[in-house]
Amino acid sequence: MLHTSEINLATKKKKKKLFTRADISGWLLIAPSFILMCVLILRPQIMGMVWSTFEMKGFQVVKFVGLDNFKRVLTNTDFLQTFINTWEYLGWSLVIGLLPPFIIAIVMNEMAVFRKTIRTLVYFPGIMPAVAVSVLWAFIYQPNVSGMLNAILAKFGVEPYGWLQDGRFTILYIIISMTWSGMAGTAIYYFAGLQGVNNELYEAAMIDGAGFFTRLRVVVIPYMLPMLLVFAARQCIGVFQVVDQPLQMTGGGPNNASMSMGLLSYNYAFVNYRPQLAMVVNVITFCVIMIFTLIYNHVDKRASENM
Amino acid sequence: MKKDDFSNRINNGALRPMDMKGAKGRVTYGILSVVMLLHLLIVCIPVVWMIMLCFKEPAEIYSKTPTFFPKSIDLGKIAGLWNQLEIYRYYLNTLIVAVGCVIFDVGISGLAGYSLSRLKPKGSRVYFVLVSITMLLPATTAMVPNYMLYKDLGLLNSYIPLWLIAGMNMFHVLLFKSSFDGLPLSIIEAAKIDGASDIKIFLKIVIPMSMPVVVTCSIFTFNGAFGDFFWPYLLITDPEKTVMGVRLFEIKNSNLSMDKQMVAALFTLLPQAIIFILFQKQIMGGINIGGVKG
Repeated sequence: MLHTSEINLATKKKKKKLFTRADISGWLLIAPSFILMCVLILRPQIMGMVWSTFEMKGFQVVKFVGLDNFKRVLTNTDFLQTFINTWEYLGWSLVIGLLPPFIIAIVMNEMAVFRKTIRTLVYFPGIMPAVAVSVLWAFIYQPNVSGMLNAILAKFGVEPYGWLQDGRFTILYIIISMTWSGMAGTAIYYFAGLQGVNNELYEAAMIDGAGFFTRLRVVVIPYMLPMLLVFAARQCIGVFQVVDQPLQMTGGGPNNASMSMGLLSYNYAFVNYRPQLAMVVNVITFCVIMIFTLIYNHVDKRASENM
Repeated sequence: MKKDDFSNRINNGALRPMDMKGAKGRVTYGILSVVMLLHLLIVCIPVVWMIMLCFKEPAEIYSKTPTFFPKSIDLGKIAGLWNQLEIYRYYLNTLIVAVGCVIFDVGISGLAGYSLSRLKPKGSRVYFVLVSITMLLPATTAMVPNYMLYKDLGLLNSYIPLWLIAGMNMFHVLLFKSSFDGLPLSIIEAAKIDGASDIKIFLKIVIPMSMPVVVTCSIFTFNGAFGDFFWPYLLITDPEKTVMGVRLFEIKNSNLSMDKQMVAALFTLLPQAIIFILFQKQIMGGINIGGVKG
């Protein structure tokens, strides 16, 4: 009797209440994170797009103006240069930043002695905050003889060189400094990944007469390729949004040579106080990054299937 | 005999102990060692040079023939700059920011991860999917609207936005979730039978048992917050409240001499360096469990 009434009560409850007490307390724990996600991640993505079509006065929304802001940004002479620059950042970062951490990880993995010390030293630049890296590299690139690279060049009798002031290669030099600190973490990830390779595979390849580089090609590359692709995609997404380093090292100069989309949008919003134009730049960046993200998602899915 | 021992240790990667019997293997190992050494030099020289600069006088730095080693190593000078640049003040500000970030991160992400892992309330899949989606969204688009929100709420020159940003680390939510997934269910069930509340179970059982992931997330959040630049630079304009990373940027753009800039840079990375040395195991472990930098 009691048994059936209990069941009845339970089914009644189920019908009546969409959420049980346990559900509510579960949601209460999620709530802070959920609210922050909606307010600080989802809302600004939507509002950024909406407000990019509005006239603004300072940071106050005034009225809807359609695509006028887009017209204004796209016809600005700086825009095309900035857009190309951003691709240049990406290109150099793929040339300079993609393989070195992988190669270093492989070399680290071959070392027979001091493995822990090597790992610590390799990771060290990765813990440096970006500002400290920028200050350090600003010194390294100092255009006069007191800068590190010019001091080294001077030992070989070479005249001091302008480094960051040479507009043709400013982006390359910024990417080198970013790679110096950024590759540290990536190399350690690859190194951790390499620990998963079964040593017997090397032995097997060796019995088949494979030399060192062939063993890398047939054992390491196939094993690590998914991880490499994921990091490459992630690097594209990160570098395309670069703001801090050009802001800290060159301010976008000389002559806008190192201006990036991120910095342009920063300047629109917080130097010129025309946030609607900043949001236009961000919408364009968003579109490019969404393409990267789709590729990344595709690669990531394939990678996790293979792993 | 000793040589044999050494070649036996070459068994971590593609080079095998057998290779070391032949000249080819030894040459390969030699080349790899040289590459490693060169890389370590590229990593270390700038940092060592930076430390050397701290001890130099401006006249030494800007001379026509600069030397690598300073004329004298005077720790008193560094201590003097600690006072002169008022580093302690910026340290205190940054510490308040960083500790707050850790509390918000572990509190908010930890609770959400726990709920996702253990309580699984009805509809939490929606949240889980949203978490996965938001992790793919670029952060730049959010910059201006979020700034406007903080401005409208009167949160400029307050640390609260920085803490909130630390609290919405979706990657850490997933990290906490997967860590809690690995906890033995029986202990939690036993506590529940004893009448412990969810919060009590979380604080007394789940957190102590999940210390590795708590420590790892805390370290990454703390380090990130201590060197953070962009949002503090936008939001904190009151010089009394400036944090270390922003202060260093101001010092870089001021006309202070290079040695002072380098001392400031050194002080900015010192906390991270100390934490790295103390918690190396956890940090490297965090890389292994996360596969992604938090």
